[in-house]
Amino acid sequence: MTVPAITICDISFSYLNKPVLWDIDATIPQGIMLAIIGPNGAGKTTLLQTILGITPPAAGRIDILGGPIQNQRLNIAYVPQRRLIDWDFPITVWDAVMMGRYGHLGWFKRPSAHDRQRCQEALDAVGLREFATRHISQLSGGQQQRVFIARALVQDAMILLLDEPFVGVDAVTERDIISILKQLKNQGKTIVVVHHDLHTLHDYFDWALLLNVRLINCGPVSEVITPDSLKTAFGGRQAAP
Amino acid sequence: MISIYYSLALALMAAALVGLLSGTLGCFAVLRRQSLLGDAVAHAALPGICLAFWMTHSKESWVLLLGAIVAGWAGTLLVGAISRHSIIKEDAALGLILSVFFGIGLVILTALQSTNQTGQAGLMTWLFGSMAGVSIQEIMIMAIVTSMALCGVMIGWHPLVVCTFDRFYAHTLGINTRRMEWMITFLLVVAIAIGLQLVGVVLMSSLMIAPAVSARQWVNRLGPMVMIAGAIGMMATMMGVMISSLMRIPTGPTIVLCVSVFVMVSILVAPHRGIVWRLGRRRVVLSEP
Repeated sequence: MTVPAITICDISFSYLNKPVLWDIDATIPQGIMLAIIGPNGAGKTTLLQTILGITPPAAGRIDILGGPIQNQRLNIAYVPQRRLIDWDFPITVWDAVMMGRYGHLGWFKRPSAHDRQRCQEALDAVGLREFATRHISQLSGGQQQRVFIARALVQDAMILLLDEPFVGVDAVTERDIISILKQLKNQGKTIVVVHHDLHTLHDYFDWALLLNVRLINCGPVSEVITPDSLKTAFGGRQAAP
Repeated sequence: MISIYYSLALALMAAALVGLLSGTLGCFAVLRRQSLLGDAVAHAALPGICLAFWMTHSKESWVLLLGAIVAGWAGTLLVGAISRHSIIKEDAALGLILSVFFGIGLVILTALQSTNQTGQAGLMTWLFGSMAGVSIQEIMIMAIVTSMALCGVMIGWHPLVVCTFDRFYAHTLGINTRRMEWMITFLLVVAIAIGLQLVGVVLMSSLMIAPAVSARQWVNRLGPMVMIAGAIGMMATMMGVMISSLMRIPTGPTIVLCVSVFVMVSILVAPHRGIVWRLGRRRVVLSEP
């Protein structure tokens, strides 16, 4: 049996004495596409940031591919929420994607021909080849999201974590992004997405992690998403479509 | 006659170094939304300068520079500590530290003047800046510090860019974001301390912000922006020194007026982002059928 992609052991986290995550235990196997689902304030983004090591948990441990994250930094790629980015920052699409190679580059080195080729391939994969020299603000919402997916692609990571990638994105782009993610899954990569649309859950994902401060359930979508578990998570009210 | 030209040449060299360093590092301050921090650091440096003079009775520039760096750094640490450990927000903490440190500095400065120590007269020039009588040794110190800071920026360019753009993402790449942030803040403090003698405590922060704001108008990439900001800083400070020595007006305000001209021109006419350009484009769009 292969090691799990992500093992979450007894994670708790609180902010200003209010628990945000409480005693989370979950094992996410490799090669699946998992949605983190829950109402607003359920701690979805915090869980993602805890997995990434950005917010250290108050208690508990997280293993990435069987070891601490410090040893697996290059194997985990992060696509942040679009609203957290300063879109007026002076970089082009190409520069933003090249950032994904910095982990491989070290301090002094300039990007090699191989690095540049990887960026070109990633831009092709997300359909942004002709936008390489554009400033990041001169793109539509969907294109902006694809820039950061391309940045994750060039990292050559085994695990991709995406925070609400479909917010402010049109339906066509949403389908494009899903097909890119499915291709990655077929290459054996693990995809974790913070998601809020229950309607598309069955189409897009094979696993779900249902969360509302506490873990409600984690497993294959059909087992996790039951009327009872949704009621526990959303307190009787359905998530907005 | 020769000595006037010699001292002007020295002043111009010092001005060029100061402008280059503040223009370059100012880009990171502006992009990290730390523009106000520069103002707080500059004001906080005043008590450091005065105390350094009081304790050593020396007007050696490296002594005063060290005093400025220590006090500026202490001010920065206090701003961080206040906003982390209390409910006071960062902008309020900045305002607080700026005025308290500046007040302390003014009190010590006045006390020093009343004791009538020899040589304290020069301390007043730290308020509004002066390039009169800058020595070749001072220029050497400025040149060494400037080249060390610029080398630091070049060596750490990749992690610096990622940290400035998106610190969470930088963290996921394994970059020590906290260390990076301390480094850039320290460089800012040093750049401000170096510039204080020329521009003065009161107006120093504008020499950090204005070149970066102007440069951003012209280009869409960080590398060129940093270079243009350095060049604008250099040109503005040199112009300021020339004009102030010709017209016998204070150096700091003259430099700030010069750099303001760059800002105004950039905000008005820069392609794509300038006001005139955007008005022109709107007219084109409206007139299209």
